[in-house]
Amino acid sequence: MKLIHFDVIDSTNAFLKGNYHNYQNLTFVSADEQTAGKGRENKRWSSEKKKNLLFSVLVKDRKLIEKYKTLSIICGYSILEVLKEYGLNNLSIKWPNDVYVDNKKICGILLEAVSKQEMECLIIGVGVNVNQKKFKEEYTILPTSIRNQLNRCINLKKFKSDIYSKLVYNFKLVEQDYDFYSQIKKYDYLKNKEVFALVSNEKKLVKVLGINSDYSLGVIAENKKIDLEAGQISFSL
Amino acid sequence: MLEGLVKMKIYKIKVNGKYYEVEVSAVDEVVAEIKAETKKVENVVSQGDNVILAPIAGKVLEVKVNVGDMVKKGQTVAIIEAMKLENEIQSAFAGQVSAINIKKGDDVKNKDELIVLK
Repeated sequence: MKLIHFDVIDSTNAFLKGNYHNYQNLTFVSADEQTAGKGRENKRWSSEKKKNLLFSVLVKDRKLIEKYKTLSIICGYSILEVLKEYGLNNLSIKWPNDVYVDNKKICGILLEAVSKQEMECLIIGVGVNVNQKKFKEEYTILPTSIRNQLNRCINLKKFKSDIYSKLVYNFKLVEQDYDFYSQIKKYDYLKNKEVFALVSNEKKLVKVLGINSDYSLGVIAENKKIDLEAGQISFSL
Repeated sequence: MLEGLVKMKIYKIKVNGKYYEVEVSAVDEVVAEIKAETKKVENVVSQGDNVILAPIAGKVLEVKVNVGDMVKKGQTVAIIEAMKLENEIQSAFAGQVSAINIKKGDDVKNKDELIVLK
């Protein structure tokens, strides 16, 4: 485990994508501020300086890379576990890996990979809202932070260390084929909800049955049960 | 085999002041049908071509090259998304793009042939 910290960087994910050759498995890169923080499909992830935890983890171990679907949700679940230890309630995982509290988003995760015929590395970018109080009103899903939920400030350095330790511990369990499914399904945010999903390029209203044991999402669309992979759908609630 | 009515015609030709009689045979128009062998040619990969494969199943978010482009080893040629994972597809070879089998929005399977370099 290697830790790197920047005061300011364009994006911790972009840094690891460009430099993964030089760093070992489970290198953590954090930053006080990201000038081009990235969300899914180039959506911006903005955060006040030194208020939140912004980091990326580099995964190069072959066995872990092959379990990227599991790692994706386990990453969200690990953040959820730490938030629970800090006293937050009503936590859930919005498939495939976002962490919600009281129907508000507190953590976003973006996975990126570099492949040359096969995946060479996996980069897990994580943003957790920690001490930020106010958020821009442009979000479609309300954001929140630990501070807003608990009405107190959190020691960011200690929180970072708790998150890193939890991730390393849980990733070790993934490597040993530990099955997290029975724990994860208890926190399924979308279960029994009706959502619009873009299935095969057609927007359809689907009823979510829940997260499956292979971490795909079971839904009912036009009276048929289908299992969705995140890459093949996009959501609107 | 050509089949037709053969007609003979005699022509007088003047060469260097001298006349020569030349017998020329004329052939009626013959309709011949040539059937070309039709074979569906798809994703032809010749020996020596390098094929960039999909490392995972997913949806094509972006194709970053065009046919005819020169590609360096390690250059990003496409981005594929699966399970909220954006996968930067880099070329393991240098060469010129001779075929692109994907477009934005396509679903691809693991090991699908995405781009061919020559």
